[in-house]
Amino acid sequence: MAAKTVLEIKDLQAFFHTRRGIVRAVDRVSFSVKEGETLAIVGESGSGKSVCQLSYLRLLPEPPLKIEGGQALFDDGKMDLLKLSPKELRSVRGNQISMIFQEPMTSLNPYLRIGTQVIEPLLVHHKCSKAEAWEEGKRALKRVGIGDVDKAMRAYPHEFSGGMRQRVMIAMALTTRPKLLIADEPTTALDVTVQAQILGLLRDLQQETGMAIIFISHDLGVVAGLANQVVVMYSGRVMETGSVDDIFYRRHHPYTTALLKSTPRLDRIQERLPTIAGMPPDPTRLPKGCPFAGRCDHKMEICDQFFPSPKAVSGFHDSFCHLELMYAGGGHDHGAEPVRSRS
Amino acid sequence: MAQNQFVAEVKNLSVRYKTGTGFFGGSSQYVHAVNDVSLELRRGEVLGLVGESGCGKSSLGKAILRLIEPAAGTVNINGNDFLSLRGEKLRSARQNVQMIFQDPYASLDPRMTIFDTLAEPLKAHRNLTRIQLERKIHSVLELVGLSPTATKKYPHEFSGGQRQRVAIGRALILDPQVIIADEPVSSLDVSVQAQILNLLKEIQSNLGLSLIFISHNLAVVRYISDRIAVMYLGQIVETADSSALYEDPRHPYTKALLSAVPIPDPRAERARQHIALTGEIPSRLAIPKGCCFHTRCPMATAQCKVETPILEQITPTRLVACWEADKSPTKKQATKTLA
Repeated sequence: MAAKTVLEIKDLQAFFHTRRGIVRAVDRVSFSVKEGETLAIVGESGSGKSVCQLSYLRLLPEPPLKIEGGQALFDDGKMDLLKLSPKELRSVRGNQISMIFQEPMTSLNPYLRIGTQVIEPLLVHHKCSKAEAWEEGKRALKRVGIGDVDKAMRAYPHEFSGGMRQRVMIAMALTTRPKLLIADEPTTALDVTVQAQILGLLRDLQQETGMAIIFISHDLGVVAGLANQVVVMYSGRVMETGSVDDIFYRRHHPYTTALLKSTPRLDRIQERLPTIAGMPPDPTRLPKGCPFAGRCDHKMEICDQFFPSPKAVSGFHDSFCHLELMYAGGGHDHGAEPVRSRS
Repeated sequence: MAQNQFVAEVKNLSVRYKTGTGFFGGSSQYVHAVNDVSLELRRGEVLGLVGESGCGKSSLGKAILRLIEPAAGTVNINGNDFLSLRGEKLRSARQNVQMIFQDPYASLDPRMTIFDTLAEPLKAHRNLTRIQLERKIHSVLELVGLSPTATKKYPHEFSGGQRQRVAIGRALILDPQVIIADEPVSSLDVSVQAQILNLLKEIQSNLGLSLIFISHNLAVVRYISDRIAVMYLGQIVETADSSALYEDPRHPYTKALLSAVPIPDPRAERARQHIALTGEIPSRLAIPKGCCFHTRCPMATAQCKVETPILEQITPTRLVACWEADKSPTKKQATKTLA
């Protein structure tokens, strides 16, 4: 049973043309996500993880953004999102591809009742009457665990807490039964106990509907619990991609290692946190080679010369690093350093 | 020797905010942000204050410094009643207690150079010559890992992490004994967060500072704290030494909170048993009667709905406010710990 590839991004390049120069916000990024699968995109602020999704959905003003190249194949290669007309794209966005954002406070319209907002995607994309949509909206709210749905449909966003608003956002995103849900840091603004509820809800809904999820996050803990596949980004580039176990236990890239090690852990005593010296490079003046080279413990001359092509560590595990692959397997703990040798 | 052991003692502190008045200016409603909280800060320790948003942890921190006037209670700093101080005496006593805020973009004046920012407290409290002033500023900059050339720059020329270093420098410049850090790393990326945490830890132990570290991030708090107080709806529900709290939490809220924090380790995540809390934090306008946690507590009994549990000492280092919690001084074998 080969699961269908819902979205495949190939060599996507999206640059901002600003007065201060060209910002290579997304540079030769490739990844794919299958039905029923969760792909997590991790990285620190400014790594391009959000811009990447917004760029192929054409949700950013162009200019200053310009898509310089690449493909975004949706629904098992049936269409290239980058080649669709604005009208065709509108019929896909909010219908087959839905998105939820970090701030449930700002992504709902404070002037409109919850119900009006929840049924909007249905009225736009599906030919149905308002009464049918209203019923469907109630079912959607029930599905995300909202109790009194009749009251909730008539309520205004300010009457709800952050967690409840995020539930409403999820309900709204799922009314059209999308094949792909893009969740951009959906739990970052929420408290941990509420975060756990929302993550559980997303997991259950995915089981139920078989939709694919692209989950953008900076929280490696959340990613560890939710993702099947992981893409690690830094300064607009993919650094490493693989299954969640590849990334946490068999990683190859020094940035992935540094990121994991500098995260404080709840489940252990740490004497001193390893840090990553310095800061990410200025996005308008990215180096010619690997953007992480300046902060990397394993930097070689070649790192400044050109960005590495992907190295297949194993089947679907790629590392964009000049370091030789000498990974000896094992390493049950992400504190353990993978074995590396220099070329 | 009690006076020596504790650098700050908070007793029965309450903070409330007035919110709107009734019709005809009648009865006003109060948000009870902090309710009857008692807390000691030992000399040279890092006390972590954790809880979810709205639990009153920031209000408590600010009330200790009297940035918000507490509604009731006492704060003793070095054995002196801090709340009865007025005017010049209060100003002078505040040198001893300094604060670091969450957002280094908002807490530094964009129109002041780093030199002016760091010189301001010295000018207000010390009578120094220009040379002494410069010397002091340079030594503090070195302490927080910034170069002396930083003095001529403005905040916008720095990154978030560097700004937080400046804010830490400003807090240190009057050689305080107590620092209250309110979510100092929450707006920073992981790699920078680690740098600032290490810096705070280093400075705290080198200078023997007492630090109250307020955060919602339990992993960060574990890393930096010696002792931790867990807050819920304006009350402290459990206090324990850092490792004891994480390995053997007793209050059901602490247990649920810890089990909700994701661990960056897929195998551990798959193996974990999560205690799911239902519902959300009740409104601060109507704090539940009895135990404030009973509306969400999986262990709640009839007693919990009526009687408010007080913080009870179960070991020399642990306090728990719960009717149902395990009160045995040692950890039970069967207690489920974090994977």
